[in-house]
Parts: sequence; C-alpha cells; structure tokens
Amino acid sequence: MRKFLLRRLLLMIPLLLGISFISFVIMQLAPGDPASLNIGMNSKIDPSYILKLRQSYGLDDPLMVQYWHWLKRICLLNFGNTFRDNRPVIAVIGERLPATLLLSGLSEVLLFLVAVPLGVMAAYYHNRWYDRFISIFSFVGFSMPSFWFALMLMLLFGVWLNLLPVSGMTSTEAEYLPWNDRILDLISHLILPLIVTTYGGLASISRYARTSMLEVIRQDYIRTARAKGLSETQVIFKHALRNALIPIVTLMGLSLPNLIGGSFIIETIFSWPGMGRLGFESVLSHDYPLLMGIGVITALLTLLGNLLADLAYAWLDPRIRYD
Amino acid sequence: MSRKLPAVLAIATLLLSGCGKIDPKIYNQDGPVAEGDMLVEASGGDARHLMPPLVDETGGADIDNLVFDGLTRFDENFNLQPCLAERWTVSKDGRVITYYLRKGVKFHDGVELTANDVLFTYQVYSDPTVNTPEGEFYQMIKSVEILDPYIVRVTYKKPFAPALSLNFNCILPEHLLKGQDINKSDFDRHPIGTGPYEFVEWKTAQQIVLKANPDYWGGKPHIQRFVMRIIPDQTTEFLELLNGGIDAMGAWLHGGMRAEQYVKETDKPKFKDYYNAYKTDELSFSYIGWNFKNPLFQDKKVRQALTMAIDRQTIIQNVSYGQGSVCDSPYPIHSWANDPKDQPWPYDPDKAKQFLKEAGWKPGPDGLLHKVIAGKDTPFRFTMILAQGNVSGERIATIVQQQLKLLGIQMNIQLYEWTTLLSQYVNPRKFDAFLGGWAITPDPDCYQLFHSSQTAEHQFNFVSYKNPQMDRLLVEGQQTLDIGKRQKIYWKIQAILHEDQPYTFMVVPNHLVAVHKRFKGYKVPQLVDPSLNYPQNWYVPAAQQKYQVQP
Repeated sequence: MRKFLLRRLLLMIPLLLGISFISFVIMQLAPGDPASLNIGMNSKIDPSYILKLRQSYGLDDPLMVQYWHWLKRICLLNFGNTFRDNRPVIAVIGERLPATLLLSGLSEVLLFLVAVPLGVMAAYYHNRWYDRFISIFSFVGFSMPSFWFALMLMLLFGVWLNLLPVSGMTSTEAEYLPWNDRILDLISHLILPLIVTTYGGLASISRYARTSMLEVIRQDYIRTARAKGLSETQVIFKHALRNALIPIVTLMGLSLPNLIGGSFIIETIFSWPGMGRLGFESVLSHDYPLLMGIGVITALLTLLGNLLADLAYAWLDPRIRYD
Repeated sequence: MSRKLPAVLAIATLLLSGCGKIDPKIYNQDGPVAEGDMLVEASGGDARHLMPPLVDETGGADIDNLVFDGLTRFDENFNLQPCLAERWTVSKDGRVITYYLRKGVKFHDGVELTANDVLFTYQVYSDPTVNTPEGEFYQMIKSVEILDPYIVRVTYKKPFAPALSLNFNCILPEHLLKGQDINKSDFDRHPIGTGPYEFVEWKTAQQIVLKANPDYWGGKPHIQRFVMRIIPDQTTEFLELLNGGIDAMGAWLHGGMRAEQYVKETDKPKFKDYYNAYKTDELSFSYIGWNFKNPLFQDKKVRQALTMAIDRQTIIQNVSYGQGSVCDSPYPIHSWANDPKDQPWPYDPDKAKQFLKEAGWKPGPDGLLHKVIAGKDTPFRFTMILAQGNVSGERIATIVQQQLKLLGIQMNIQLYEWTTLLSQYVNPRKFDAFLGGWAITPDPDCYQLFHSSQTAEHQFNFVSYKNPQMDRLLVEGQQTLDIGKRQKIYWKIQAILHEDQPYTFMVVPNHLVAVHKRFKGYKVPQLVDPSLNYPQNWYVPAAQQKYQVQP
C-alpha cells in the first residue's frame, strides 16, 4: 500500500510537468496580446505603454526562455505576479478561494445529500410515478439554463418578495453588524446561488445513484437478505446502499477540482467573488501567470482527487487491493 | 424536528427584515441639507490599480477621481475651472504655465500639499520606468520649477493647449511615495490624495469603500460614504437597483443603464416610485474607419457615398432604442469645438449611387459594382472587422451590410476577440474597414487620430489618413491657447473631416443614469464624465436617510 502511494505520488511530478508545459504553450499560441488589452478605446493613451507593459511582463523573451523562467520560479513555489494588478498569484488565488470553497463545498454536500436519497428512492420505486417524477424534476433542473433560473429566482425573491439579497457575498454594511447577524447575512446571500448550483447538478448524481442502486438491488445477496426476514429499511440502507455508493465515491473524488474551480456563470450572475470569475477574467485578459497558477493548482487537485478516489475504492471494496 | 428550528428562525428573521417599508412618496419631498447616508453604486469590473499613474481602466479611474484632485478641472460647459490651482497664467508664447496653488489643502493623512508634490507628480509621470499610459504628454514638458511653496512654473517644449486639462489630473503625495518603486508600491492598494473622499477599504472583486473627507477644501461632502460594488452582470445590476442593493447606476461611476432598460423599465412603478432617470451624452463615439491602404477606399467620393448609404438614424432607433445621436466629428457634441452649422451627411442611397458612378464604379453581371483598378477588374467587396462580444456592434454591422448590398457592395463581417483584433489586424493595418469606438476627452484635440505622423504601428491613425492641410490645423489647434481662435481651427478641422470622411462617424451613445430619489442637490450634467458631478454637493435630507453611518 505504501509502495503504491509513493509510486503514484512520484508519477505526479512528470505528469504535472507535462501538463504545465502543454498549458503554457497552448496559452501563448492563442492569438491576442495581454499588453494591448486596455489600449483600444482611448486615443490619449501613450502608444509606448504597450511596449513598456510587454517588457515588464517578460513577453519579449522567446517562449522556451519564458517557460524556463516560470519553471525555475515554480520550484521555489513562486507563482509570480499577475499582469492585472501586479500582486503575487498565490495571494490573488488565496483571496478568491474561500468564497468558492464555501459555495461549491456547501453545494457539493447538499447535492450528495439530496441527490443520493432521491436516486435510491427512484430505484426503489422503479418505473412507478415517484421514479418518473424524480426524473422529470431533475432533468428540468439539468436542462434549464442556470443563468435564466438564477435571474428568475432573483426577480422573485429579491425584487418582488424582497426577502433575499440579489447578489454578492455580504451586504455593503455587513462589517458594522454583530457577528450573529453577519452569519445570517452570509446565509441569506448563499441561499439563491446554492439552490441554482444544487438543482442544476441534481440530475446526473441522482441518475448515477439510481442506476447503481438498480444494479445492486437485483443481486442475490439482497434476495438473501430479504429471505432472512430483514426489514426493508435494513435491506436498502444497510446492505444495498453500501455497495451502490461505490461509483458515487469516484464521482466525489472527481469533483474535487470543481470545488476550487468554481462556476463562472453562477459567480458572474451572483457577483460572487470566487475562482470561476477569476479564471474567466484571466482568460479574457490573457493573464498568463494567473492562468498558469490556476491551471497547475487545478491539475494537482485533479490528480489528488483521482488518487483519493482510488484509495477510497480500496477501502470500500474488499475486492480491490493495491500491492 | 427541534433540529430544524434554527433554520426556521433564520428564515423568519429574513422575512421580518424585508418588511417595514417606507412609503416612497416621502422621497419626492425636498429637505434641508443634512450630513449622513451612503451612496452605493456598481461597476462591472474591479479596479486593477488605484495608484493614479498605473490606472488604465474606468473602475480605478472613477475611484481616483474621488480620492485625488488635479490642478484644474472642467465645468459642465467644457471650460477649465480652478481646482488645486487657485489660478494660473499662460505666457504669451503659450509655452510657460504658472500655477498658483491653493493654500492649506491637506492630504488625507493631514500633510499639506505644496509645490513639491506637483514637481514630484511630474517626475513620476515622466519617468520612463513607470508603467503609465499617460506618459506621452508629460514628455512634452521641458521643466518644472518651484518658485515658491505655492507657485509652480511648468515650461513646455512647444505650446500645447490640451496640457491644461490632460496633465496634472492627480497630484501625488511626495512624502509618502518618494524613493518608492511606483510600479510595486503598497500605495496602489490604499491611495491617499486630497480629494473629497478618503480611501477606506478594498475587498478585491467585492467592493471599494470611501468615506467623506471632513477637511475637503471645496467643502465637506454630505454623503458620508461611497461604495463601489463589483457586479459583473448588467441584468443583475438592474435587479440590485430595484431591490435596493445599490442606489444608482452611472452617477459617480461610468456604466449606467442599458438603452433597453431605460426605455422599457423606467416607467414601471417599482422604478418610478424610487428612482429618477436622466440621460446625458457619453464621452465616446463609434465609427467605421476606412483603411486608406486599400485602393477601394482611396477616393473620397467613395467614402462619402459609403456614409450616405448608411442610415445612421435608423440604426440608432433599431439597435439602441433611439438612445444616441448621429455625430459628424470626434468632439463631444455640446463642446464649443463643434460647429453648430455642420450637418452630418444625410441618408441618401440615390446620391450615394451617383457618387459611386462618378468615381468610376459600374454594375457588373454579378450584381456587384466593378471598377478597373491598377489594370485589374475589381468587384466592390471587402471585410469589416469588429470586436466580439459587442452585441450592438454586431447588429450595426448586419444593418450596414444590408444597406451596402442595396448599392451593389458586398461587405463581409468578421468578429475577433478584442486583443486579437488589435494585435493581429488593426496594429499591422491588415484590415479593410473597422467598426470601432473611441473614448474622448472634453478637449477636442484629435491629433493622434488624424495626423499623418501617427500612422506607425501601435499609433492611432490606423486608417493611414494623410492630408497636409489637416496636419497643419491639428498642430495649430494644439498650439493655440486662445479659445476663440481654437474654436475656428476646430471648425475647419471638422469641415475637412466632413469632406474627407476618413471615418464614417456613427453614433454618440446616450449615457443613461438612475439615481435614488432620496439624493438631492446635484445638477444633471451635459455629459457623462463623473468628475463633473461635484459629489460634495449631493445630500440626503435627514428624514429620508437609509443608512446609519458613523462619520
């Protein structure tokens, strides 16, 4: 086991190197120029400003030299400074990460808490009205454009009923509130985005849960359990669910990068100061150091997520052994 | 069941907080000037920098406009007014400007502003190692001398009329910045100036908070706090307005309502009961630039015909819900530089046809116009490029395409991502026609756009327009300081532009503002520039105040 873990961890080093190199090259191959971003519209801007910026961004060096500089820095865990505001990439990411972790972490938890029981029940009531209702309900959520759903919720709860704030993570005057009101303030800002993200993701997880439950429920040992005279609750939740959850664990492992990636659409619509917006804005503004920072961290988390999923597998399923 | 209780309680609290609404009629009443309250506005993007020389986008510029002062400023009629300089004199030859500074002006940290700070500001902006987009006009300065702690003499290499408004817009505190690397200073994240508002806090991607400067030389501002919230989506921003999450759109910040929102939403009770809507002109215009390197556009008859073939009024009606005006010059519409007698080319497809015929274009068998250019039979076919993501631009392009088709001209449309458009097509001059827009200043100087020396890569005369008479007038316009004489020069420039049509000038969009009715004391300016708003005049009567703010 220890050997397996060590091997996997060591394998990650060349993988990360490859990923970072390919991302670096692709990013720079894309047409566009980070220095001319803000030039366009104003004729009173000094034309030599672009050249100054290009030089200070280090864009005048050949591509390989730029990558080499980046790699040297990254070995010292220095991700460099962003183009946009010339602050350390790590600090910029660190500033946005908590907001995204809060929203996507909560929504991930909520998603599994809601979707798995829904899927299990749908499998239990296979092809009956409850099953169909769940399918329709979750597919409506899946097919609805999330920005539209978000705007409708804002209109209903924010403007018409005036119950919830429309967007943002805190109220403007939040810092003057006592701590308990500040938590309530945060919760009230979380409700709408949570509904939107959770509802949209319901379909896929609950379908997985349903399918895998359907498979398990037809197995011989379930029949045995029922024949033994165990109660239906025990059969479903103790014997069947345990095995049905194994594929779900993989899904959870794979969703780790989503946790820090955030969703650009949700974060933009709800003015949520998270990673999704940061990533998208940095793509638009060709902010190479920031993009590389986000890319490497996401790649690392994806690899770790895979590893964790594999480990959890072995733990849950006695048939799997890594030696 | 008992475990669910906190959630229920939380929702109940939220329900309660939504109640207790004030009757909106109270906002229609006036009241005496009172201190207090807060103005919350939204910006689509966060500031990137607040260190004035590094600022290159509107988010940071709008904040700095409140935190810093310049030596001079414009009033609503585009006349220069004193600001940190109480008065100034200009030498006979126009090269030497002497500023007499206001005494007793203090930076937000309590240190007094003196001539040293003006000299320091010059040193920062003219330093080639500082990444500033505003360096060009400080390079024109020969020397800055301190004659007295309150008198500064600025000598230009050549007389330069726009200098009075373009340079020295943000005076930096020498005592805080001396010896620092301007590109990397912490000052960028907590600026200190002399303006009506002091910097309080910057939560990246969320909000920037300012508070009233009680010692402001122009009078203590009444609104205690100003918050710029970052709301990237414009629809969300409007919902925030209706919900009360923000108080205004486009008042102290650039931005503003979309034409669609202004036309369709502002007479609904949810809006009308709480908000005033007004419109002014944007400090910008859109245009189609015809590349003179392409033989198709080298004949001015052809360019005139193209302009007459495009129905600009209909475009404004259909694309912008009527919220804009047709323009015929690169100056602000209400500027003294605009010749009131000048009329834009009319929409006249028949005359356009005739002009094209006179220029030698004849209908061919394929339905397109043809002409023999350099011994080759050439159909009138070209591509117009524009930036992706600009929805109204795409609509305008499609209408123009249809209208030119009626004359036998085939125009293709090509969209590119903004920086790609600039770096691969506009800068190397590899385009036929370009649908773009310029942000302009209250000063009418347009040397960068139309002088023949400005055609090199990265410079802004990218249509490569050359006219010796225009060159002479543009230089004269820069070197003449007398407004009356300048006016005549810019009228002549306008007439030549009208005749030559290097651009088909399209539209000056309206700037559409919404402000909560509780705010009083402001004048509706003629144009958008938030610096014309005199924020220190705004107030909310005590009975109508929404936020309790400790000064």
